Amino acid sequence: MTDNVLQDLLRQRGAPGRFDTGDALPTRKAEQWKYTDLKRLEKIGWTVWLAEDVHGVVRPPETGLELDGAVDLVLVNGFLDRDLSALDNLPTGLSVEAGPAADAWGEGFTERLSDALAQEELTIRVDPGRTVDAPIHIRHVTWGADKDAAIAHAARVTITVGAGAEACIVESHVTAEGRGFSVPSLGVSLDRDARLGLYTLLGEGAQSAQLALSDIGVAENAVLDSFILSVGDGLSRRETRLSMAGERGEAALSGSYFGAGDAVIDNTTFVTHSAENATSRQFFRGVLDDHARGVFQGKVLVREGAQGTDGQQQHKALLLSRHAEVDAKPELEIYADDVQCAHGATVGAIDADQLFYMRARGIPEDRARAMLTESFLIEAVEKIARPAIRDTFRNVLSARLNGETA
Amino acid sequence: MATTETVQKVSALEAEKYRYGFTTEIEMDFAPKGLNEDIVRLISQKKEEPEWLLEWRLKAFRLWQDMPEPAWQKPDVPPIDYQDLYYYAAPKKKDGPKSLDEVDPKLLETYEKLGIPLKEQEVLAGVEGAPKVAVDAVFDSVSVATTYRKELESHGIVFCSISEAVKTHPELVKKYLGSVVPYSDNKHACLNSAVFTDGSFVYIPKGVRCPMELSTYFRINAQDTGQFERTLIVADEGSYVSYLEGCTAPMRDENQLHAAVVELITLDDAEIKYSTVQNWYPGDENGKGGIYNFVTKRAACRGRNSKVSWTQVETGSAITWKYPSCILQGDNSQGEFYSVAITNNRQEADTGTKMIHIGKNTRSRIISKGISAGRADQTYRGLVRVMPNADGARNFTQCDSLLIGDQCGAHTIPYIESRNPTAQLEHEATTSRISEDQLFYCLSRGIGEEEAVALIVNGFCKEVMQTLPMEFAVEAQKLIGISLEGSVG
Amino acid sequence: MSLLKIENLTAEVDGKEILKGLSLELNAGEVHAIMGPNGSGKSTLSYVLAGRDGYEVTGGSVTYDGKDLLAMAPEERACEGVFLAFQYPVELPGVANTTFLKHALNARRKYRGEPELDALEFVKAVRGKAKELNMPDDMLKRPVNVGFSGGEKKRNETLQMAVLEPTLAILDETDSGLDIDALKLVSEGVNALRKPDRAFLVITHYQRLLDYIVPDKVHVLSGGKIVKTGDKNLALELEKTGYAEFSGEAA
Repeated sequence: MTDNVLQDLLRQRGAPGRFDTGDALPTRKAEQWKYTDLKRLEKIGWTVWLAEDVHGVVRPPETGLELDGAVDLVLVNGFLDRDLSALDNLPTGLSVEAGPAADAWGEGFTERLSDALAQEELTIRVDPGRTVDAPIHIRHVTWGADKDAAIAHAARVTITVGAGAEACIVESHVTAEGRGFSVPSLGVSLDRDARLGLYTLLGEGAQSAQLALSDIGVAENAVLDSFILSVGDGLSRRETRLSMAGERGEAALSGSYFGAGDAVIDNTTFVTHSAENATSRQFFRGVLDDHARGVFQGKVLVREGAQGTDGQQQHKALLLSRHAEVDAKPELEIYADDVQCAHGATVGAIDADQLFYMRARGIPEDRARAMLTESFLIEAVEKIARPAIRDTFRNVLSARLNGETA
Repeated sequence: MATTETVQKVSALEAEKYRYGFTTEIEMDFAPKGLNEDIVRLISQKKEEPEWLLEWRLKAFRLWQDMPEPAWQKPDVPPIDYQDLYYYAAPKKKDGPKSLDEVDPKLLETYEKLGIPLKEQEVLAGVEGAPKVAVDAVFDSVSVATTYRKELESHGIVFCSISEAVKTHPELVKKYLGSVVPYSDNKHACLNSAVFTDGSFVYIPKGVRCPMELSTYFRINAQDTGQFERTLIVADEGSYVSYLEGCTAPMRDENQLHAAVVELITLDDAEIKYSTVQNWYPGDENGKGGIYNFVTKRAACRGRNSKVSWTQVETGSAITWKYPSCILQGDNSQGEFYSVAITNNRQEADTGTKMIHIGKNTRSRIISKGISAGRADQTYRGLVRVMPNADGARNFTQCDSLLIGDQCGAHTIPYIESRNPTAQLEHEATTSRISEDQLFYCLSRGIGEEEAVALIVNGFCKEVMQTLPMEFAVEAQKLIGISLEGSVG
Repeated sequence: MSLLKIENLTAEVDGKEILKGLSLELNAGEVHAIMGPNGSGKSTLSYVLAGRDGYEVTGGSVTYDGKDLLAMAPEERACEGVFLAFQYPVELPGVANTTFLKHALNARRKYRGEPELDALEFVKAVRGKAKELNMPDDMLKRPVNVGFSGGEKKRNETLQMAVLEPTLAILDETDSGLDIDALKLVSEGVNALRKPDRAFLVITHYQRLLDYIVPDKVHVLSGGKIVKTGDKNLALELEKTGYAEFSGEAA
């Protein structure tokens, strides 16, 4: 295999000309990739599966997030697995289809990679005015023939929540066998007055890598509640683009992350306000241990005319180890004057006063540190609007911090 | 609506309000336009420089030719025709003034008009009982006068033009020049290294507390001139100095380039307070003309317990890029950055700071206040980096933006990087406008609208203005008034 | 044998000597008040006894229940029965009051070799005590001290004291920031905890608190030393004359 992971992938895929021959992975010289180094993707012989490879060889994943009463949609290496998915008894108002992927994601590196690799596209629709109570659980599974198999895939999902409709979508990612390099892209549109909960759990192993994209549009009076819990040990970057293009739309874009080992966890967000009186809230918490690195690049753009915008952004991180690192770049770009925009970012250690207070009540230092770490991350989890999901995510986080596998 | 009215008035700010926009008719000595090795040699020769300095300039020039223009900043800068500039312009003189009495009276007049006292014993207009200020005046490319030298010399303080220091204190200049901002640092610093013509040099010996404010006044006068001054301040162990810098230029239709380099060095227990009031010509209301202010300012806090405090009030220039920074090497060293930037009409500013925490228990504090009006665009860009060995490092950053009108922009781009688990970093930023409530409250108490705006803006900037030396604070406050008030007049 | 014996204790903060040879003895069942002007070292004493970092003991000794208190980690002291009611109780966002108390109580039980309480037993134990202190249930569920008023924080400290049942309780300026009603409530809570095998060290600037928690002895702390000891009437005397007389000695 050559060092050029992209060329290898594209050759196998027989992909269209999205990349020039000379294209390589972006380096840290590129502003957008300043803090996340993709070097670890090189020198691995990634394999791309084609649709016929998937058919009939997949078995259900043995691990992963279980949600009561959820509508399971299982994507194996980016392809919908009809046997494992609950397609027969879909709730009223919900439709699910799989078809060939259209490439139109854009010019950024991740976009072009997704366009080049994606083969199938899953389309989820919630009809206008309908409420789907059961959470829709999109389970992304990486499946290789053996434990040494390195699979690259690019699932593509588009979700449309019709006017006045309501739904809750949970995404989780697991590796059943082998190691994965996944480039999932998610296109979401909330029509006017729609409500959507969108929750993502990332908890894959040290060998995995993910470059994820979400592109979310929030129309007039629509409400998005979203959360990303990243507790994986590999590399995961999630770029979220959120467009507040409808008046009085509301969006929460929050997350907690815990990185240990050599994990790299990157949350990159770009919120654009182009309509009046819309609200966006970003609330991120991260804890980094061992040699882990956390990255938060968050941008709020308020376009000319987007008066009455309320855009808030907060990122707080704790470092637990001398070898851990956190890099934050919260950015405001504002072209309207009647706005309330603010961001805050802190990096620090566990608060000495809090630690002493707990020890003075008899709690051993290690335990006190663990409790403070957990409560620090839980504060973001508490922002999840749906109680059942909030409890589930809280438990996943607790389990991870207490050394159990997620 | 009161606000709307204010916005209209502010956007109506006219360039005539730039009261420093006159030119001085004076016989000048120019080097030919354009830039090549011969010009670099000529500058060095005119300055009667030693060989090592010429070599250094040439190295910088050769590197500069291959360096791309920076492209990461927010303002779009039209391509600069480096060959269409004069790199050396000096008032004609016979042997150079030995004392103030020999300085061309026209020059003295210029500085008088600017309110800069070049006669000793004089104080800045309007400040009663102000302490003495020693002034080094730089006119286009060269230093024309330095005051209070005798008194300073009695304390062992060196305060002179840098070309003079090259001759009188070569060992100090050689040791420190380029040691904080190497010529390879960036395109503009590189150009400066090749062609710098003058600037100030300050050395404060061990244990000396400089008895007066030191000040340099920069003036670009000649047409098509670039000003490339270089300032070097060394504060030896246990010393202290407060240094002020002011800038003006006449109104010109063309853009003029100002690419300065300032290097500060503090050794153990030393402190430098560096204050700038920058009021280069900003261009007219349509963005025609004005100074490109591309400045590299950096301090190395090399000693334990050393401290550098940057304060800047930036109201002028068509485009400003500058990031006065601190490299906090010494344990317990401290860096501060206090900034007020006002942009109006078509002005653009991209300014901020870098605080690099290397030593243990290093502290930094950043307070930035940006005011954007008219169709102006302003960016705070800052970096706080904590290196792995900087145990106990602390940073606090507060960036506030105030927008006046709905045609301007205000942006905040902080980079926060920590690699030490005992460091604490805190960053906050807000964006707001002058509220109708605030304005109405002032009006209802009988305060005129323009005064109310100035009042509110000055209140918004108060934390920074308080850090200016008294003599400067008065001027800076007036300047804020003029920048926005002129608009409402 | 006294429960707490402080002998010639010296301690510094940031290299500055604050305690300059303080000696004090306290027996089980007694309530001693320590009064003194601002900056006399009252809070330093309480933090030194609780083991806070940055309060460096440079000389002297503290014997608690026959053991060297200064050799113990803060949590060990707590498990041994030393309780500091903080002047400024710390906020713990995200940590529920009950979770916190349960961890604290079980840490102590474990230390003593007692079985840990299960959730139900624990809730029972806490509920009753909270009710006595007029603390609504939701205060138990909320994060520790977050969004609590000054009075609520002090009541919360008192509740912790009631649940953790210390042998030696140190009350650091418990009256600061309290209105008269809150002061009464907290004092009643404290008085209810008085018993023969428990001692209190009540640190205060004002005599007011001692109207409600009546001490057996009053010590005047000034310039880092105990400069006078008397009965409860000494407090009343101080109320009239102020600390001026002692400040002189301290200098």
